[in-house]
Amino acid sequence: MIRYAARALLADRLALAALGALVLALLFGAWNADRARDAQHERWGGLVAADLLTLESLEQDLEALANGGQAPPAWVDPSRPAALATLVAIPTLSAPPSPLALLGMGVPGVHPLEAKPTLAGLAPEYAREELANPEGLLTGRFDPVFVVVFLLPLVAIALVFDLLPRDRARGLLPLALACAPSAWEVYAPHYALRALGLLLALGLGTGGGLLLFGFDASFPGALPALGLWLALAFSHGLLWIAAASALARLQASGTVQALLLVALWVAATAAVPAVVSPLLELSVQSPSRTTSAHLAREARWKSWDEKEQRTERLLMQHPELRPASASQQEAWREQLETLAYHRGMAEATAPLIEGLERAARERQRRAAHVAWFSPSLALLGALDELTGTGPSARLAFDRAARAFQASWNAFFIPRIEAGQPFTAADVARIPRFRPGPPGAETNLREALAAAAPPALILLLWTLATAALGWFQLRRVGLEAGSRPLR
Amino acid sequence: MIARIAHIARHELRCQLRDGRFVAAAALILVIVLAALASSAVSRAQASLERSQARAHVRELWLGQEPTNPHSATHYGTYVFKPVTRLSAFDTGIDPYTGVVVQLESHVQREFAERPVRDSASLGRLGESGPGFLLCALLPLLAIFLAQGAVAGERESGLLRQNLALGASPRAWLLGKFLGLMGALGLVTTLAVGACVCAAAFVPGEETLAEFLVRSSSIYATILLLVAVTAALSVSIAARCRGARTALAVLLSAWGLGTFLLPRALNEVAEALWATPSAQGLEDQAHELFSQGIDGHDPNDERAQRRIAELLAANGVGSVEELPFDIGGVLMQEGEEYQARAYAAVFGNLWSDWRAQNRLRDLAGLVWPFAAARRVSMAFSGTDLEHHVDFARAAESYRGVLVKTMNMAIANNKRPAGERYVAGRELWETVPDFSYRRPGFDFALGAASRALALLFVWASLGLLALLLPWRAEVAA
Amino acid sequence: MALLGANGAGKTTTLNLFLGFTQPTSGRALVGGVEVARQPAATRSRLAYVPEVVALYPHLTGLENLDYFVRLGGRAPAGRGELEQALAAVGLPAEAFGRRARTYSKGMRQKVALAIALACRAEALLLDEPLSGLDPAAANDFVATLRRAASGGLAVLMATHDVFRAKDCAARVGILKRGRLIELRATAGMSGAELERLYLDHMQA
Repeated sequence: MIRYAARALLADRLALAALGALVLALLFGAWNADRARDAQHERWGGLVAADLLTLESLEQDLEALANGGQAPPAWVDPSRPAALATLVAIPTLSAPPSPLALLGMGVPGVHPLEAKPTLAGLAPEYAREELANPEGLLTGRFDPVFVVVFLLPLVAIALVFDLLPRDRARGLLPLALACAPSAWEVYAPHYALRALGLLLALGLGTGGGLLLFGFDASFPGALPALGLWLALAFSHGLLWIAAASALARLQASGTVQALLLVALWVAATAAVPAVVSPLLELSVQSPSRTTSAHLAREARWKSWDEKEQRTERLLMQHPELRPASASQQEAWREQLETLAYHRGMAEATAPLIEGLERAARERQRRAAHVAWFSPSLALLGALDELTGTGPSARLAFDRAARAFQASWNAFFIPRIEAGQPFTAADVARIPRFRPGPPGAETNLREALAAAAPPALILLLWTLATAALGWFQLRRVGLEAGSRPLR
Repeated sequence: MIARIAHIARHELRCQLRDGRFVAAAALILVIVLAALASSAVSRAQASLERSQARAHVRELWLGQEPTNPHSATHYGTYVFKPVTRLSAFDTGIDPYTGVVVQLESHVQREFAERPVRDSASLGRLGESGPGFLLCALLPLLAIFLAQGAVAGERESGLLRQNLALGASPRAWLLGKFLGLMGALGLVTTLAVGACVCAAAFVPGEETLAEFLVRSSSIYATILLLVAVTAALSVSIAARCRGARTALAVLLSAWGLGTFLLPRALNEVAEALWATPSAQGLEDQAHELFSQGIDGHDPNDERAQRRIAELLAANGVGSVEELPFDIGGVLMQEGEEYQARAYAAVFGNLWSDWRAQNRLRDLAGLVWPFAAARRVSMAFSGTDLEHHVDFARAAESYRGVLVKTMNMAIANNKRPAGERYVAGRELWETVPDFSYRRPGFDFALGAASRALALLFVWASLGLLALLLPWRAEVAA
Repeated sequence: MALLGANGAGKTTTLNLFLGFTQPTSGRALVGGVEVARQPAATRSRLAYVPEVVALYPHLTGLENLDYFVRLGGRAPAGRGELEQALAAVGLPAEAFGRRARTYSKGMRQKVALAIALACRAEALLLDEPLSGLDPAAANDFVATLRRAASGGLAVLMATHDVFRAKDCAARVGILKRGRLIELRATAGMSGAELERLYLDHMQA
């Protein structure tokens, strides 16, 4: 029976074209994701190298200073820890691309994973916006995740929409149903074979992409994540195959069924997000970025004016911080004032940043609920998590950045308060940021855990639709109303 | 012949309006578009109010500065907020993807900050969802859907044979079908676009009524043209293709390619062909150009020294103190002007690269008129790159005015050595509030000219397809 | 047995009832004593069916079509020899075995359908207007094949218009009018003309 199903498939040019298109689209998507991955890798590497260079030249400068060189202006004097912590030695924390970045690139250009530590908190979210062509952002990118979420359903529909309607139109159904109990027995081999074809095309496209553009399979957790990615993609295909079979009892022609399925696809991928997502966003209370755009500047100016007062207050509370010798008085006081300035800025902007972060978390929480309404959204959420471009990757990076921030403060603030000059020997002890990529040991586990809920939603949708399809197919030929004859 | 066409058209329209499938599909599209419209109108109205509020507040802050040296005032700077056009409720365009506020400060031209898309849960992953996009994407699909039933269905059921047997020519039948379909589709389009325009009228904005009406009627005409072209093509292809399946495959592939696939694929190719610098890279480019010109802040700068010598010679004095104006102010202004030119060059390159990318993306309109219709709709709604660049340039020239006023104030108020010139509110008030003269309809027309031309080419193709003779293959 | 009746009298519906494609609104359809509505799959497996318009898979040959439908019925796959034998038994010319089914004439398609029915080793055979559209020679041919099959103990129920053929090949004839069986006669003692008179009388009444 499989043999006949295979012959039917090979004779179906539309189905073969659709499968071929899927493979090509996956390869093209992988190529694009590869370029994005390279760009991200280069950027990360550049930042790490720049950081290294800074520290090297810092060592040299400190040695030159110790050997009697001319002292630079106070705010860039490398022997002052305050200057180092706030200007000279600040690294830009960033993350390299995830191991599965070849399968999904997220939205490059919007809110990259980067941060800068300061003396009193991560730099507020007024960091310079990354440059990106807004019309390019509008159009969207073409990566394997796009292919799986948007294109795969159309391919699945093209494979199976005409199985039953064509035979019905040709008049083959009565004879077939007279031999077999129901349409399920007649068409199950066909559906199974085409699902297999879909799986092969998926594997070929994805595997080809991974081979062509490089994939680090030895990374811990990469293979399970890849397996899950493929499984979810295949399950999505099964969902749409089952959806086509659920229309089995419809007495409509193949083209009408195809159009119905395309309408369902539009509903899942465009209509539901268009209707539900904006409601979600409008329902979350968030501080307005527009009306607080000037807040950073106000904080800076005010904090600058108040830094002397703050330092005085600090010294009154901690008189032990006053230095012994009067010669160090000036330099050390200036550093304390710098510390006070940054603390003031952080305090002033903290409520806004907290509000924004809370709103973002709330949005993520509600977005997870929206996934119930559309299997495409659920799939997108799951795949984004697996490729390291989803919320869990950002959370992990934020956590690592905050931990680094704490160590940065713990290193510099005591030195500032003690008033000790910085020497070349201290350079080696400056904290360095070494996160793994968003898929590192602990983080990939997190990604898998974060991908689980939307994955389950997708699987539920698939199982429900498959059950519906099976039920409908069995009814054709077995119950009144199915009426394959006239 | 005309009478016969009209008769067929009327009949078709009546059939469609009675057909449950048409009513269901049209209702579904209207519901989706109205839902998207509601949320976009609310968010645009909110944004518009916020921005005018913020603008007033920022102006107050500028005027309320403590008396200080004008150069400090230029570092305090001010903010400029991108205005919201009314029709952006209809076609949101690039508004969610560009920053809404730009900080104006001396020595640096910043890029717009605070992209609204950063606040969306999916960061724009899903692509667009505004009413304009939905209408341009879904109405053609409806046209394909209806054409299948009307043309291919009738042919296969034998009704066409009957029609022809009664003396109607194939061409008349086709034209009648097309006109009838257009009647039904036109109804849906009018309802949808009408609702959108009404909602857009309630968004607080600064356009005049005349401008708003002209732009909205142009958008309506464009979408109607898009629907007409798609209907003509669907009807012609469905009539000419041997099987309904082939016709559907061709039409749906063209629709899918032109609406979703090709724009994205071309986007990737465009990004690969025109690599644009990162924000840091842009700054580095600018700074490289700076090093080739005068630096108004560094008294040891070679070019500054030369300029000082020139000015001394021109004024016939021997030392800086004898000059009638403050040399610091003059040098800073010259440095500022040079840097502004450098930035203009660098940003100019960036924008022309972006324009080239956009032109490549618009090639998707060769396969299906969706991309062309989108380009036109965005241009008329004021939400395309050209409008953004126009505003960015206006903001930049205001920055120049602000900084120059301050620098000139320093230059013209020479103080004896050791004393700094301190100015107060009177000086701050000499800088006018930022007012943006919106580009008119002709600007939008210019931005959309290519796409409009393409749409007209499609329209003629559609007309040709309808009028070309075809043999109805009714002996099935 | 032959079922005679005008269009819309219910001949096809009767066949549908036995095959389980339609549910009865009242009463029961029994196949071998088992109610069809209760066990549609089991009863259907004991029947074989030749529709009015026989459609075969156009890209498969006649032999492959037979193989496919037999396997669909859940029978053990037969060897090539057995299949060829079955086709030969219904009178399909040997050179047509390997030709694609889209080249077959109506008569040939019906023969293949008959072969499928016989190969499924059913206990009863239901035919819907088998002779419509066949020229006299082909019709004769078909009836002869049918008789050969029936002689092996197969019960045959044939819905038809053709009064004379009905008299020819059926042992009993039933006349359906508006869904009711108004006459049931053995054909042994009647001539063709008498049967036709009987039929017309009922129709005009």
